[in-house]
Amino acid sequence: MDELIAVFIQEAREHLEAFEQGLLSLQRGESGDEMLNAIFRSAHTIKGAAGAVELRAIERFTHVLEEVLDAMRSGSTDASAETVDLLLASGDHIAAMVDQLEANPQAAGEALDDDGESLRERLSALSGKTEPLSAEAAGVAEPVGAPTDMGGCWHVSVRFGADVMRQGIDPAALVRYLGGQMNIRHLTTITEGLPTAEDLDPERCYLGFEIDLEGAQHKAQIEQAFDFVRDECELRILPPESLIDDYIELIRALPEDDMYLGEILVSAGVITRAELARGLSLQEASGSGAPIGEILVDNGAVTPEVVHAAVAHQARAADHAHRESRLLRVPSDRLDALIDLVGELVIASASAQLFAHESGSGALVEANASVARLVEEVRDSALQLRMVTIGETFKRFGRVVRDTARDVGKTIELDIKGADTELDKSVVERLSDPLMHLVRNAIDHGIENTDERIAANKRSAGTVTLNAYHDSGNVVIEVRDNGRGLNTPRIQEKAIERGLVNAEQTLSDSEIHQLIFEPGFSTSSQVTSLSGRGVGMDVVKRSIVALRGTVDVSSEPGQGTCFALRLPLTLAIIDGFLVSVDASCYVVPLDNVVECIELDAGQTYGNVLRLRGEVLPIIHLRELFEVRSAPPRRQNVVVLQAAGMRAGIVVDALRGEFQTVIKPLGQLFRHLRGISGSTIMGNGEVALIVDVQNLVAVAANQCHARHDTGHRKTLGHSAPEQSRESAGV
Amino acid sequence: MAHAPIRISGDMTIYRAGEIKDLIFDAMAREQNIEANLDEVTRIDCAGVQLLAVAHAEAERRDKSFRVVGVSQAVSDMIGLLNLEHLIDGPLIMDPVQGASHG
Repeated sequence: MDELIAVFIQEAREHLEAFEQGLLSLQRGESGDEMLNAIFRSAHTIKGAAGAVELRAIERFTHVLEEVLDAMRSGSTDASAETVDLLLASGDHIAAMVDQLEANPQAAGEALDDDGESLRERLSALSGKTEPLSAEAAGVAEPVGAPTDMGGCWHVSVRFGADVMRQGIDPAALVRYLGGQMNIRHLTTITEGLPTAEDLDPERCYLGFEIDLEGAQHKAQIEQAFDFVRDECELRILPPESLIDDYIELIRALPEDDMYLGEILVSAGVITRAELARGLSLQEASGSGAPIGEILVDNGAVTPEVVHAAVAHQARAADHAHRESRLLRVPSDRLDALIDLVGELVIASASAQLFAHESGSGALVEANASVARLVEEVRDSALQLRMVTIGETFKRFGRVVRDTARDVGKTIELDIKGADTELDKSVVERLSDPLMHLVRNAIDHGIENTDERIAANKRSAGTVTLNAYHDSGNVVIEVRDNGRGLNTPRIQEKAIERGLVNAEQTLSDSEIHQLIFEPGFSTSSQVTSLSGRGVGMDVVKRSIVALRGTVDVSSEPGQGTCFALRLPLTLAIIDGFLVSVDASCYVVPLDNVVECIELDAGQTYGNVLRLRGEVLPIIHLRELFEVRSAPPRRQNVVVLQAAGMRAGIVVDALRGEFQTVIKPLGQLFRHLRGISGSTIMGNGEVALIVDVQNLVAVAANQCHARHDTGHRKTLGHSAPEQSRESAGV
Repeated sequence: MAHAPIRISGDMTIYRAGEIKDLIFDAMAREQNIEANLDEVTRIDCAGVQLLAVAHAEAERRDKSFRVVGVSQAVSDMIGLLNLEHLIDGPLIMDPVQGASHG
């Protein structure tokens, strides 16, 4: 039961996502009908799934929702902004019910409902403009081509040819026959074709029927009832609504790869052989080369969505990938376990190689080398498993932009680029909040009011662009708006006010822009519900830095602002630089390393080194990590850069580049400062991964403190205390 | 104004459609209100049904009235089958809504 619920939760969320995306694109006016069908199917699937796991509350609610969608499909309800809003709110409600369900699967029952009551009433008001009964009565008045939707009913629409009765066939007899075979739920006789009395040829047939049939197994069964008059009448048989989805499923599941479209439809039972043959002869006769699918739809033999599914099946078959059907759902913890194991394997393989070298056996070295190569490949493909496209995350912002923009009364479009860019799932997950903040900020502060935009000769609708691309082993994600740009003088003013910079300091525009990442910095004179509370950019920056990434901002007055987040492709592996102090090894992420130099004692002043005339704060790892042995005669400095600041760390030896798998620190070491993780080297020893951000901040603080107090004493043990402050934020 | 009664008996099928057509519309040409008694109709097919439908439409077009005042079992069955109860209104009227849901 629990597992079923879990599957339901996951599927429901996926469908809700699709539902929401569909509504949003519908509102943007994209391909109405098709989109509406997709939305309907999402809702329909949720309903079905909820029913299957006996979540009656969700099923009931979704049913009402589905009715509105159905009314929209039949054109009796418009996709007005209000309707879409209501539908979105309903989607939220279902999501809330799903959340509730997840929080407490035991309460998987009626308790979930309640709040939905008013929503449900509003939905019913939308869909239920006509009572079900009077809808049928209305069918008598305007019956032509208006199939009454009746759950599992086939719809048969037939118009008889002029000579049917003369040939001795009474249409009523056919109806009687059908009624004997199956259950006629409803029948409307079409008399609209009748002429006036003068023109009436009493032996000619002018009638037609619209019939809702229950109990037919397949299309051919209905068709054969009309065998005698087949050539004399126009016959259309539409499968039940519920079957359309089944057909689509069926078509998707067809194993054959390279069938003709018609064959696909026939083998799924959507059309009969006879219908296909007629369609094909029509196609031949018309000579227009219209696709068979189109002809069949025009003939009413199939509904467009079924043909779409069939065409998609064909396309997928052609495209050898079969991607959709080959997707595999894997619990993420299994994947993590695999990657952990691969990490171990990399280490074990390195160690095997080491010993192979020591053994001096050529064959062993060679064998190990090929093992190592394979291990590398395995590692790469394992890491690839965790890669997801950023598109999913981006798409979610459609709703955010829409809602937020409306809250602040602006018209804003979201433009998504590079949705195919892949990056590690764990990075994506942790990106969502910072991105949210940046997007909201862009909407609230970046983009001007409509009036302002018009005054500035810009398009009244603003644009927020989300872009992602790969750049030399990193992923860059941009949040760009075409708004007013950063107010550079005001930022400077504020910064001076807050004592972040001196009034005399000459700063470049970009240096000033970086100031917005300072804690508590906000230029907004107005606090809105969205942003401007003075917390924000620093939080964004911290979360990106925690992902070993960086944030940059660039801005052109009047043109807009662009935040660029630069992130590593994966968190699990780094290109490191191995250094050592005494017997312990440390890994510094290579990206942070600027240069390595030998420590020149003549140029050091306490914790400061003079490097080519500039002052560089340094940290002795030996002191920081309290290594008790005496320093060697020659020490080295690794110059590091992080978050725009530089610092040097003094180490004993430089060991070179080292690609490694990061192992997070255990809970016990959570409060350890200056270390962000660990790794195991080929020889089985542990190397600690240096937390560069933290160290650089500590070093800079030391320098700062020294400046402030003016004394030249070395700071030694006060450093960790300051680092605690900065680490604890 | 007096009601002009017409009576159709026996077959009301394609074989007699021409004849019945003349019967109905000749009456309609002469009279304002026509009452058709179908209680002796033994068989009816779609041709007969068509005639009834046209008679109704025609009467309306010409601002006259055409009513069916009696139906046989055969007529009633056929009308029920084709869901055309509005063609035989009058004393035998059936609720079209009801008819629809059971039809």
